[in-house]
Amino acid sequence: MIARIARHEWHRQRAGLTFWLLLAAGQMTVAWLAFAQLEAFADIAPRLKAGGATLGATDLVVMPTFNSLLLVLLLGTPLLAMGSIAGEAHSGRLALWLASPLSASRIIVGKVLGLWLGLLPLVASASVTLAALGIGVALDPARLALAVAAMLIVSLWLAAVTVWLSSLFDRPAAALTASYAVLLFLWLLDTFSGDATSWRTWALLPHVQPMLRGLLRAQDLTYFAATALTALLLTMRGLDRRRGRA
Amino acid sequence: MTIRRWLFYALLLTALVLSLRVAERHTWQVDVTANRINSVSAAAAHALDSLPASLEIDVYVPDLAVQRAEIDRLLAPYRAHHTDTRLRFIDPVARPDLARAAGVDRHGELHLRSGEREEIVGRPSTAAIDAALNRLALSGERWIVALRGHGEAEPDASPNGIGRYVEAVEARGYRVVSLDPRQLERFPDNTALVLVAAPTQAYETHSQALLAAYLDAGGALLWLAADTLPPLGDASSALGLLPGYVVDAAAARYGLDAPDNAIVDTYPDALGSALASHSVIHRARPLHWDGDDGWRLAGTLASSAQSWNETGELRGRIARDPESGERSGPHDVGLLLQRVDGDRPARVAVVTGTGFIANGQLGLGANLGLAVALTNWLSGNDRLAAPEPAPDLELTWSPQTGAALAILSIAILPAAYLAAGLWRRARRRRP
Repeated sequence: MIARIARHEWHRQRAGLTFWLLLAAGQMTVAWLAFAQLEAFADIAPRLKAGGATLGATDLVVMPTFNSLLLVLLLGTPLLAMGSIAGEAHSGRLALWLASPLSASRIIVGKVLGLWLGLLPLVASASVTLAALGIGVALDPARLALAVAAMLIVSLWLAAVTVWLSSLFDRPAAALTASYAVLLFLWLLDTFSGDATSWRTWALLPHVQPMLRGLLRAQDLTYFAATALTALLLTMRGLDRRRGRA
Repeated sequence: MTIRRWLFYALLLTALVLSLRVAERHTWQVDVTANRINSVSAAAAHALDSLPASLEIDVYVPDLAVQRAEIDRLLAPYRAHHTDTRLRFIDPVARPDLARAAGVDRHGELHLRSGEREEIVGRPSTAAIDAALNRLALSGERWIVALRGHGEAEPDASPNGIGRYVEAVEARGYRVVSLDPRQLERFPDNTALVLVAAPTQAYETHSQALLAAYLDAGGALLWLAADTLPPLGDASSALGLLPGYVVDAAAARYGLDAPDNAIVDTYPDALGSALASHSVIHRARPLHWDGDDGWRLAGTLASSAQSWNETGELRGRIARDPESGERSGPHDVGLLLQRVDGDRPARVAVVTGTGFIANGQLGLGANLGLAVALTNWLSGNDRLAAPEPAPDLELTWSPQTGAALAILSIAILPAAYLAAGLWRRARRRRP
């Protein structure tokens, strides 16, 4: 049943123009940035080589572009997620979901997976574009694979968090505003705090950057798993409460 | 009901905070990069392994948790690699006597000690610590004496200068000084290596005697031979140049248009295993070594089998002419020689050409790695490998391929996505 809900959500995404606009704009942004940075890299590559630089195209072109892809996902996911529960509530369809015999956990997991499926084409398209640079530069394949895995993990995490935020409101616009506020706060949190402050634990970038540097750490995986699970539990709890009120 | 609800939120938040804290304190990590950039660098690892005694690190920083945590994190990979390391934080405000005695100039200074040697890192960073460890690990002398006064390449930024080589070896712990041999009675005691960078004039008797005495005392000499060869005493007659310049057809494989580039792609064991790519020796002269009882050939740098010594003009279409004495390759364009006797046998490396370490040539292939490996071998620091340059510093596709890929990913793909979206919407609206 979870797969069926996920598929339904995925079809709903594809039916709207927002999904295709996001995919086209995201792909164009990522490719543009990648080739602009590659051009700048090509200019300085002889000097880097003469100096025996330890940073190459992977560090100076590919990973910064993955960072840009992360920002595109951060800005695009709330657009797709705002309709998942807030949109259903606004249109009155949420009552049908609540009246069904499906458990809240199945509905929520299905919706999160459906939203994730909607993000995968952008992640795949951008990743293939960046991997294609390997035709001309000897990229580090293990590092590239970890960066793609990081994007998959972050997009699943974004889906869980934005669906939770969507469940808190009855209007999609309010869900969208709240999602941007929370995600941008987490995105910028590490710039407000020093390296050793406890706030840094909650910031998003310090958990993504190590993976883009080729470092797989247990604490980063735990961060995404624990916060996504918390978001899922809170969404289920919220849906159960709505069901109780209904 | 309200209490149960708040209890649920409180427990959930507690579980979340605890899981994040536990994961931070008891973490594991895997460095998946090919160059192990998140681990201690190969050069630092070699330096740590080569230290003569345990490593002591004194950090002069006030009792500020954030600064100390940052330095602790920076030093963590080094301490994990070299377990015999003692780290001590000293507050220069609370203990000005200790700071004064150590000559501390600024807060955050690192004093690294191993045995009798000490190195100071003013601004802690991975590169600065690696260089300091290299200097700590270097055995004995540290100066590279570059000779001048006979038309040798200058340590400047001009295309024929050797400024980049100087920067590279100084970052690895050596000091380069430029001296005129005509004004010297002997080389400084802490000379690790004498560099003779392609002199255009022959050395007069005094300079030759100076070099011969230096080699007799177990010195090390890197000689870049344009036309002249190093004085090897009795063995000088065993070393010679064949006529012409080495022309190597293999150069075309690496995108080099000029035919007078010798390609070296195999290296002697003495230079270590870090050299994985080809080196380019421009206008190389073929060497011959007849052997001598006093010297052992430790290795050669040879051009490819597709090379020959071209004695004619290097213009237009050229081909090997056996009747002019042109012999097919491989030709030796570099030799590594070591004296047979002595407690500290002299080492000499001769590389022909106009200077593969010149600024304009150091970026070609693995020239930088070769220069550093030769420097390390000559100065007896063979174990100290150079930091590996990134493997992805070269764009190998044609401009057409790059342009096609750019157009496909910037224009065609987004347009196709947008068209698919519009087509789906139009189909849905159709009655």
